[in-house]
Amino acid sequence: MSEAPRPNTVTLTIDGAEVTVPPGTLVVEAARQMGVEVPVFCYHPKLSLAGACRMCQVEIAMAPPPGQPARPPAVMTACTMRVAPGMVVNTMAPKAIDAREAVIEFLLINHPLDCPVCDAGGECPLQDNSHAWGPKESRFEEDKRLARKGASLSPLVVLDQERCIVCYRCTRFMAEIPGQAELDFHQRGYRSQLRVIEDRSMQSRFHGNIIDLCPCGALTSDTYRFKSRPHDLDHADSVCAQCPVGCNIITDTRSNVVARVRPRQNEAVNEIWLCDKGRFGHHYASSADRLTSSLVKRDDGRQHPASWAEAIGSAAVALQRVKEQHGAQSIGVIGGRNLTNEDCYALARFASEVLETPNVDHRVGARSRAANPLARFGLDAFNSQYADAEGADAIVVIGSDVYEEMPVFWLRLRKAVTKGAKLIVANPRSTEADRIAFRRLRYRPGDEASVIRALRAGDAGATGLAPDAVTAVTDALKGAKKPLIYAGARLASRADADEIAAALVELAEGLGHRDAANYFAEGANARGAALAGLVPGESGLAAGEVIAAAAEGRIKALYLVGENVLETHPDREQAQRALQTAEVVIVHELFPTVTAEHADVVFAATSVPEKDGTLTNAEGRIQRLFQAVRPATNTRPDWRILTELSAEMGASLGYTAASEVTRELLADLPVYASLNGAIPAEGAICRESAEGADASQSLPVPSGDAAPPSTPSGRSPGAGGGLTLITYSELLGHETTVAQTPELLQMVPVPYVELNTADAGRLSIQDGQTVRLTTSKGSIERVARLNRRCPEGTCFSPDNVGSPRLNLILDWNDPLARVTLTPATVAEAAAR
Amino acid sequence: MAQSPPGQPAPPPPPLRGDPVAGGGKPGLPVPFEPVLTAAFGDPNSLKLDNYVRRGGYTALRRAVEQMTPDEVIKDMSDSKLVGRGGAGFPTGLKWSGTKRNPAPRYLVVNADESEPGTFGNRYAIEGDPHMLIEGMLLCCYAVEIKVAHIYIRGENRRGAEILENAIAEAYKGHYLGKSILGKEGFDVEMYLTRGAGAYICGEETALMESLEGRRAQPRIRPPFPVDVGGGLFGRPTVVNNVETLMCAPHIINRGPGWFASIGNPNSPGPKVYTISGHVNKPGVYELPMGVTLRDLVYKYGGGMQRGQRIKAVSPGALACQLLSEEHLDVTMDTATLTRPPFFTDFGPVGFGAGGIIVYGEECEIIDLLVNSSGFFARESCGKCVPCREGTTWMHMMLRRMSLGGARPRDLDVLLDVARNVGGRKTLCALGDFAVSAIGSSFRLFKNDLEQAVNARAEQRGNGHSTGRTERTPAHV
Repeated sequence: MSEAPRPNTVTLTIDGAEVTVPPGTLVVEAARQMGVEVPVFCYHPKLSLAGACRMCQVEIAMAPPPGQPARPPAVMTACTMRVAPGMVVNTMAPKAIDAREAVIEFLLINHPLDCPVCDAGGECPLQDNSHAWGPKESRFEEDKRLARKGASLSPLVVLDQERCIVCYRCTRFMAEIPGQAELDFHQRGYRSQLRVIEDRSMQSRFHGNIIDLCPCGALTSDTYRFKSRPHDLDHADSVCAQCPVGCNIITDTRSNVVARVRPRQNEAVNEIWLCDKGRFGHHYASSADRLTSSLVKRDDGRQHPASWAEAIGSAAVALQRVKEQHGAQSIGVIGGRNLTNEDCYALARFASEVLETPNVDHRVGARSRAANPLARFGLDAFNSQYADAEGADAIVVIGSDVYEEMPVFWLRLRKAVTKGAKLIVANPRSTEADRIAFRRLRYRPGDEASVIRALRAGDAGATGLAPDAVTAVTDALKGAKKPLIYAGARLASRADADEIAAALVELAEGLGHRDAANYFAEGANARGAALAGLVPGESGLAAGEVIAAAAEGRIKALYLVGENVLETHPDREQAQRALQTAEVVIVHELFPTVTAEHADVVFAATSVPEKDGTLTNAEGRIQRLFQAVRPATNTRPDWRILTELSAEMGASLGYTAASEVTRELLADLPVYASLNGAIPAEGAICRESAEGADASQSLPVPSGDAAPPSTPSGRSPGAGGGLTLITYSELLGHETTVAQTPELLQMVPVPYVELNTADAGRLSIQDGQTVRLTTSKGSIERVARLNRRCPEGTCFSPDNVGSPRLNLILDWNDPLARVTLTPATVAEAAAR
Repeated sequence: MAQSPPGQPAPPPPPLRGDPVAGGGKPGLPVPFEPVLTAAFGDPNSLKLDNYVRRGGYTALRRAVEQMTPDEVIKDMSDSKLVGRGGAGFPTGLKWSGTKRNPAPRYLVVNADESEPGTFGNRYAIEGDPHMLIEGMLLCCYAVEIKVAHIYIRGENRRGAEILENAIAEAYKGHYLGKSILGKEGFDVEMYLTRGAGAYICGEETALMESLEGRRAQPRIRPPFPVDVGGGLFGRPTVVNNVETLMCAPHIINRGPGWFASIGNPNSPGPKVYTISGHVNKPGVYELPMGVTLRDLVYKYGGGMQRGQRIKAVSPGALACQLLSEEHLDVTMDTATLTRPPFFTDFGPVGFGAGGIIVYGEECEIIDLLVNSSGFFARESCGKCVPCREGTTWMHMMLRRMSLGGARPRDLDVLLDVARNVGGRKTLCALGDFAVSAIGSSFRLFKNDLEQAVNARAEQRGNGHSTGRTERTPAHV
């Protein structure tokens, strides 16, 4: 180099060619940049450095100080050495090649070499590197080490200790990425063995990733074990439809069955990670329990398998009749949060053009009109990108258990915290996020708006929060250059959603970052559904109101697409009444659910791996998914069912392929206009335009320490003898997607109720004891979990776990209803 | 002679700075030599603070605190040419100044995890004169401006840990620890004692710090080095010193760096605690000038060989060093000599370690020596990096099989090759090199002995090709 290199770069020579990289770059990465692959086992760009495997040894000569003779090269590990100016690297030096050969020999002396029966065979770095660098034969004459084979680390991951090369990728992943150091090596040296801490079963929601990271066949998937060889698999790029994060995946199939799901790298969304629900919960698509025929309720009052013509015909006649007799206003449409954009768009068009009803919603149980409560402030529901969290210095999460609701995004938040961001977790309940929180704000359920206002004012006011915690949080936020606020999805569909949204915007504006506020979504494509128009129109009813109206007989026809309202509407008795009272119930379903049993017509729909289309994730990124398997017998995509039904009803939507719907929705919906009809490989963020919103809308004046209006939590704890019951969703519940994967089902928590130890003492409830929860709606049994972290007077229970679901005792008309807890007596237990 | 008989009056306080120094100030002259590190060993009262003070204890600290700036203390350490006594031989003054260059908080960690067969000098030091160590640590804390000092002691050394605990408690009571030590505003030191759980790897400084931080003891990647931010204890700049290194500090301050530098080999001078074991008549602890000859150690101090046998081999610094043989009797035993040519072979430096001399007589067969030493390293390999984890046990298995008469024709060639693949700086820490020192040097010095022994045993056993192992069944593959 004749020119002096710029100070922010380093120029070195690798295998005879010069390369210029930023200072601090590892030699292995510098080599990779110029296409020179240095073999590695323990090194992984997403993990800390271990220097353990010694596979990446190369010959390095450091530049001598000026005027000094050249220094002799030495063999060093390329994964721990950082570049230096004038460094000369020779990756193919004989000494380096010898060192690599030695490492392979060492690794193989105790490796069982059972590649022919190993799941990793064919996609195994140990195998590949052995072929590339290893000795031709073994000189090892002693007994091989025997160790545990086929040992379960959890219901999902199997360990073969004999294959393990002790690279510490799995232990580093668990400790560094989800921050759950459940794995470590016991013993030392030659006898090192991977064990779960305290020999438990692994609990993490992310531990499936260690299968991908394992550079040999030591860690394999229980559900994929012995199912296929890699070269027998077909692949389809897809997007996970299990939660709103929208992780990119590869669906590997064999003989038209999804064999496994792997993460697909997208640094903007999931990097290279996947949660265990997304990875393992794919068996529902090929389940034998799927509906393989549409069902029509005939005159005998029972459902019978029916041809498509009969099903379409029956549904058309029934809907037409209700529409003519009671008017379009008497039809309610619920669904969309788990469908593709194409299905959502077709459903929205069907509702408005064919049924002509404004009662459309994808948010089960919702009571508010706007899907995006920030819209009236000219803001999108999510005003940042996931990756922005990494650059944030103060992050507020309110009313959301990110770990359970947005699992892979939680990893991003964790990364932000390890980079120095202050994470403020406001939740009535103790969540995983508490473990790394800068401050935990435990407030009374229902107080969200006043809590947000308190953070704005720096004054705890009547919230009951610790004043110094509020001050600390306010100071942290004020000092932040880049604050971000994330609110739970359910805060957007509550009755006081507008008040909460106003408080959020006010807080964000106070920090000088009007666009700091973001709402999570509930349902894999909830954002897409909202953008496609599956939201109540002018004078339309929200989903919760539709069910309530149907129960009272005001809604005569229910059209439910992929929505098992009997288990998801937060009042089972009301949903039951709605289904019984409605004259017509039409359902699109994958499975014969309890809701489908009430339907006059059940259309057998196709599942996500069977469809082409697009999904829009919580951050507003539209991404393509490609069909991986043929649809199950006699099932059809929702858009096609809707097209045929509309044709039968005299106003065809006119689609013949999913791609036509995609093309039309990209052209028709303003939010996607910027794409010009093309979706890039990494997806594209789309924002709702501020058009129509009143950005100048005046904000409500902060009410200071005045009591928040109409928050029922004002009731004193124990009044009426009960506790306020708060519900939320676990990542792994008993939904059909999880229920079809028995191994995953084992990871679902035992149905529980969480309450404060003091309340429990008053009620004579022991930890682990079965208790009976009773409300005016009914009673249900749950196992008590006691802790001192949840506020007194409150109890918490997930609404997607257990049978019957918690909604058996919920009252839609009184969301913060009191529940009485009594220990289940021995007699009761015996009676069961 | 090191151990003064019990009951004798305590030796007079050491001469103060400016007094004529031992050896007449002429470098390399070991006589007259006055032991300072081991002077009080064997006296049951020497563990007590008041006894130590009566012997002149804590005068160096007082002198440093009252008359010297921290940088002057470091300069004395540098001028004394003291090199670390733990084995690596790093100049102590350089380590202290290097640490001090980096921002506070800084830590001091004393490596008292002495656990290699053949080394026991630190154990005697701790059990003989614990306050000398504490004073040395305080000098380091004063010089490097450290407020928290840790002693990491080998778990099995229960007695040493108890003695140190008592000594630390006494030092707190005597206001030598805690706030404003010796009335010096801002000179605050908290001292903690941590016991290991019994792993050789904890003597490796970065693994020691991992253990001290509550993690699995495995070496860290360097750089960053312990003196750097990010490399030391809890990521802070840290001085990691051996027990004996720190015990030299009070004497350097009291008697001056010139006195220290004048003793023994000028390249690595000072008094040195040698521990001699093996086939000698008088094994034990000997404080001598750094750089006495092997001949003197064995025949003058060690009382000669048991049963009058000849020397077969010598480990100059316990198991981690390369072997020497009878031809090296006139080599001086010190860090500088044994780490430079001609004592730098294709397996690296012969090494002096911590001065734990093991003498093997003719009665010892090299093959058995190697089985034993390789077994130690195979058991103690931490397993973090591949060559050491797999190679040490492989070598031990081969040697054990050969020693039992199960040798195969190419075994010795394979053994040497495996040793080359483990050693030669191919491992994360120095233990890979340690593990093959004895094996590599045996091939250089004792190849014929090895071959003869292995062949004779195979001949006697009758079947050189059976290892006595269970054949692998096809089902197992």
